[in-house]
Amino acid sequence: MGKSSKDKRDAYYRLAKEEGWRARSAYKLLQLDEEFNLFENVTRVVDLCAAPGSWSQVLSRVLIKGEKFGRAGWNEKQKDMRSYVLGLEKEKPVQMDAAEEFEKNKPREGVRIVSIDLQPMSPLEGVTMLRADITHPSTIPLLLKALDPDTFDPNATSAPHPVDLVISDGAPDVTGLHDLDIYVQSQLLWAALNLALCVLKPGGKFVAKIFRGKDVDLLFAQLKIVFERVKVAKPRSSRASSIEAFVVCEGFCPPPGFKATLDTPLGAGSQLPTPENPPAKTEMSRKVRGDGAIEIDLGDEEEGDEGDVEEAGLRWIAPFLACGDLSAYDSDATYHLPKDRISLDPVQPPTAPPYKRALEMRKLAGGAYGKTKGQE
Amino acid sequence: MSELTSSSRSILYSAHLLWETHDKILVAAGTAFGEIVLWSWIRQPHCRSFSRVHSVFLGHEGSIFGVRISSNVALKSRKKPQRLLSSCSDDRTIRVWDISSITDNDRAAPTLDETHDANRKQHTGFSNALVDTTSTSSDCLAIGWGHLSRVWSVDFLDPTYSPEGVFLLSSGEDATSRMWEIIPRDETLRTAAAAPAFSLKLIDTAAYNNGKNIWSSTISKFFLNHQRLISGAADGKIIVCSPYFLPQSNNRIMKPSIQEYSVQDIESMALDFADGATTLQTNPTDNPAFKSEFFRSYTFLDSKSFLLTTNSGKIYLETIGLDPQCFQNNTITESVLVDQMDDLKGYSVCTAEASIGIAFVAGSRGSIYVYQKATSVLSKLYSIRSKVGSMFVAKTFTETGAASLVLLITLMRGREARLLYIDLDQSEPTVSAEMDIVLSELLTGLAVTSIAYVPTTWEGGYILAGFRRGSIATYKILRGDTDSKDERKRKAYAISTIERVHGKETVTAIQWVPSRFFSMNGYIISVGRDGYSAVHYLDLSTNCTTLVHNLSLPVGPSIEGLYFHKNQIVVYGFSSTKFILYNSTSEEEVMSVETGGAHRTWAFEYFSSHEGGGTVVWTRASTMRILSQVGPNHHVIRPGGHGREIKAMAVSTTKVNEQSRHLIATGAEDTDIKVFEYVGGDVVYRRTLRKHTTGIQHLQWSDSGQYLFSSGGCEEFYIWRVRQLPSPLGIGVVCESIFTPESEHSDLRIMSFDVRKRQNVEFGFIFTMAFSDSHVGIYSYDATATVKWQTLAIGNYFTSCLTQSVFLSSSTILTAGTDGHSAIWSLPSDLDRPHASAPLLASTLTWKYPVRIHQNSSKTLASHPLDQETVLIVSGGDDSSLALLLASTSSSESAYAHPPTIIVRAHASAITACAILLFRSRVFILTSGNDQWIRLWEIIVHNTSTLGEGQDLLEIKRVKRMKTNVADVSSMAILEQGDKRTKVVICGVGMEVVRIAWD
Repeated sequence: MGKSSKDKRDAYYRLAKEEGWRARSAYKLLQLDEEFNLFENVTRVVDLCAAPGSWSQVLSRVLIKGEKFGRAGWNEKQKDMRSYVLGLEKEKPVQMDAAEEFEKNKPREGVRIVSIDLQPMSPLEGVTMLRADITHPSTIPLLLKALDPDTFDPNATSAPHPVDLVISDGAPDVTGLHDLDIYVQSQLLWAALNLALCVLKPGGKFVAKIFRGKDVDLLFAQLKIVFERVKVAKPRSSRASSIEAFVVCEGFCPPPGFKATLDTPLGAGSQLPTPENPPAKTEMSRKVRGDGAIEIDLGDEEEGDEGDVEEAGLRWIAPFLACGDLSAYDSDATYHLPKDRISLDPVQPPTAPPYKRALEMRKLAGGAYGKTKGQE
Repeated sequence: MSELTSSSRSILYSAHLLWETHDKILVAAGTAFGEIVLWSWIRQPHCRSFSRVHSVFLGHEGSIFGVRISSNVALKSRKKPQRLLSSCSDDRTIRVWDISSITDNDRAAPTLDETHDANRKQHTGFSNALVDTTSTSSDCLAIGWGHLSRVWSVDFLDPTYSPEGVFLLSSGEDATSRMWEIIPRDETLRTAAAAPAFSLKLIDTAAYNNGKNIWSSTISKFFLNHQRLISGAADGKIIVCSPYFLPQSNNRIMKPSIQEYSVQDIESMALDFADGATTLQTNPTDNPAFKSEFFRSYTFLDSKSFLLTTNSGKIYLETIGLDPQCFQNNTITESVLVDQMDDLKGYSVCTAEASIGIAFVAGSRGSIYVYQKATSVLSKLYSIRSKVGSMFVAKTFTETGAASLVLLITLMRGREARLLYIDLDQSEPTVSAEMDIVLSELLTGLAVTSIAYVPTTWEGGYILAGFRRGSIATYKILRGDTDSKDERKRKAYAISTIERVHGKETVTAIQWVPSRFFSMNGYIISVGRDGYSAVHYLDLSTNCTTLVHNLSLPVGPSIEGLYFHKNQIVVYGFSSTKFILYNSTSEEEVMSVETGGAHRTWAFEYFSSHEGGGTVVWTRASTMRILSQVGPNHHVIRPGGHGREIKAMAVSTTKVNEQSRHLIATGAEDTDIKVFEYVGGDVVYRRTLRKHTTGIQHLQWSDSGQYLFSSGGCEEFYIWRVRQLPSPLGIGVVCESIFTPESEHSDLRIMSFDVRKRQNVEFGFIFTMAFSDSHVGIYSYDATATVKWQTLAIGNYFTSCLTQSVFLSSSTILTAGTDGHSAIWSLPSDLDRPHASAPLLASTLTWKYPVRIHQNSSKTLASHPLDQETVLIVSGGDDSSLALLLASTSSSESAYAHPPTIIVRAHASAITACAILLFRSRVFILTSGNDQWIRLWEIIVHNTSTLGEGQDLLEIKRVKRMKTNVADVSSMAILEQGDKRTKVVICGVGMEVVRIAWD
């Protein structure tokens, strides 16, 4: 797909370029924030698998520069932008002048943002960037040092000043083998959770990408053990055709006596301790909505004959929440754009693929560039 | 039992375990970050078992998808047997590592455990390997480049079967399996000192998995002397082949290269074979006009011999040495000079009926010679006054049951073609009757390119002739007329013409399948250079023809011939630079020969034996090349389906002779539509419809099962006519009509549609289509009208994508979209009016009664009338909830009989498929989603009069649940509804039939 047709097919791809975001995924975090008010009273954040850095960019703009992406401001801006993009108004919305902007934007105090990825990232204002493997124990001291460079004690095993929020938008390169892709994504989630368990303060929040595929209810059930509230959310900027969603876990409540460490990570050989008092089952409930519709929750399922013994109580379906206002762009819709529109270049060019050298080799050998199917 | 974890916490993509000794396991693991960790577990008699890391290999620039530890192998130039480790990666390379020293001395080898963590601080992730020039890969023995995309697996060949060298097998995303040999690197080519000491030489490549990702491959060793390659691909197909690249037993049999013969080779071979006395002592250089001697034409006499003519007028008989033990043959064992004719000098054409070993040769002066294999006699048969353009032969029978032939001779630029009846019951073939066929420049053009003979009585029949301009014409032939004194009666004119059978491209072959012997009606199968296979039904008594099948083949476009083998249709032709023999019934390649492209001079003859295969001979760069192959180049162990996930599916159940017939149409992200039949508990592949250029969005059958409708992106919407044809033709499919896109760039997706039959029109339908730009359209199609399509109404919803649109009644539709709302639209009343010849202005639709049924997209929607006035609508959402609506179709005042009922947390993921199922007058709903559960619900619609306090009209109960193996479920449909059980087909990544047993 070319730049221009992708613009039409994907409103957020276009918008991200126009609003200077490194990737369209910035909108996913913004829309999650709209629903969950994620950044409320948040000053210390860790962003995992951060490259190319669009989520860190959101953190930087919200927490450091104090820009407002609240529901009201957001919708206002959206409306203007939309009529501009649709060609209803030829003028771009008038930018606020600097003084007014300063008035509105109140940077927060004592903000610490640390972003971790294996890939290098371009710098962002107020964001400390670490190139490290989130699965490795040695990353914890690195992270603690980055969080508190002045008071860092290399012998401390736990965070003296834990963080308020851990976010992760990490996803593997999809292989096309369904089970493998879902497994790898769940492993990434485990890796992010393991790190979060080490640095999160009680009551803290954890937001991570999840694939709503096979056995996702097992993951939900595990998360429910260490967080008071677990919800699965899908921002409107995430395509309906994708199985991607985000778990939003609030109210971190590690079981008493539980000590997290990356030396014995969960998922690889060890499990979360099963709580003595399993969380109360959701009972059947009926609710009549304002619009008259009847919402029924049939409650958690009784393990019937068909349920395996080993998974008794291990599955739990998290409540779902769609994020982003209905008037926001629909990532699945095709938009008609004005004819004289100029398609912009992406803010951040794609990173070098692992097969870069193979392509170069083939080019040298006079092979067909870009061909992916073999022949006899 | 205890659990071991390597000190690497990085995600492992691959691993291999090897019991090295009774007390030791070697483990190789490949990480997502391109590292390979080699560690082992050791059990010692007096202390506890322990594990330790030996080495971490760096060098790959992408995730490691496969690792394999070899048994001890003997490398050339190395004295001791070695233990090697092979790996393959996202970076498209295969690497071999020497791990002999690690495994040799357990105690002496330094254990990396202590230092490893320190190392790891530097080496967290492959980005370091890319950047850090200090990280060496000195243990890397060899690197292999060759795969065009990601490599999924690599394995060593069992050295007991390949003592000559060390071989590797790899396979990957580029749909190939490749064989490699480890050979010492050419020292002169070693530029850098750090370059590996060995190199991986690509020996051969096998690509029999239809261009699909090969996820797994192995070498079977069931047959000691015959190793086979088995590979499985993304479409679920598993094939087995015995490629030459596999070292067989102790000898490595090299792939037979195509043999080349020059004219001189043939000449001298013929001299060797001939007795001196009878050899024709001619010297082509005597006549300066024919100085340049070259091959003129080839024709097969039977499966192992053929005639060839040369520019100097010589006719040779060539015999191919066929070794039935050998898969491919390519040598000419005997060459005999049959004759040399003056009137074949400078120009000759030939043809043959290989089933009875009779060939015809003609030249520029109109002499026609016949050669019989049985008697080895060449004789003059006939003479015509002009230069022969081409000859076509067809076999028929005389009253006595003896074979006879029909020969059609076209003349250069002639407006008439001569038809000869040739009797074969004499001592030598004789012309028993002749007739002229008058060709029409205007109707068909003059260039006949193929014929078929239709015998309808002992006295005569019809000739079907295919033309270069793409049409097929029918000529009536009566043998009685051929003796007529009236010259007019001795001429046959076209009684009917089917135009553009293959567009404007050459009709290369025709076969006639009569309804029964001597029948006046039957089917014409044809192939052409447009790459299509077409079937027409022809009734000779009324001269009516109907196109009943027309689909493009995945090979071609130069399809040159077709024949029947084991009741299947096999075609052949040229595809890119290859000659391809292709079974179009099973859609499997039989033979693929690198010919360097299509050629002017070539011939092919198939083997009618059980295994099949055939021989192809062609001229390239003025030499004759030949290759014969017995049997197909691969066998299918398990047939495959789509290469990617199925996005839409529809089932058609029709009664044929009191028997239910179930057709399942599936449309996938790979843009293909496939038709399967459910017979005897099996889903059997029938057809592939290739026309869409985007992923399929929606599929639906007409109630009668005669039509299939499909939609996709780029506003593609096709109407397919589907018919059951007699064996061996199978299911006939014709794309009858294409919807004309209305938007400026035709870049919208038609997300969903619904269809209603038009009243008073046999083949007419009304569609409602939902578009990705939030508009909905109502269209009418009438196959018999002059203007086939009419836009009846258009309505705009909002800007969000619409994902569903269904007819609730003849006057209302319901839509749902990504905004989670459903809406009802009233339609104009005159939808069924006849199509006007002038386009009418489409009316504008408006929506009303919006209801929020989901938080976001409706992913699946089913509707079913419960009674005269109410329709049950079930919608599955991305928000994992299930919404139920009762729409009333009678009164226009209230659209719904009940407020929407929403069951939240119905699945753990998006609900992507649902079906409504009525059983013993109870209403059930089946749902499924990405969580791979199938749930059965019962809906009880209470009577309003007896409704208790606080009780809802709709009650929903969980009944059952079961797991499905289908990931990314996109659709489900009821296949069979019985008293005791119901069968449901579920599609997504693959398909599955599940059974619901009713207690």
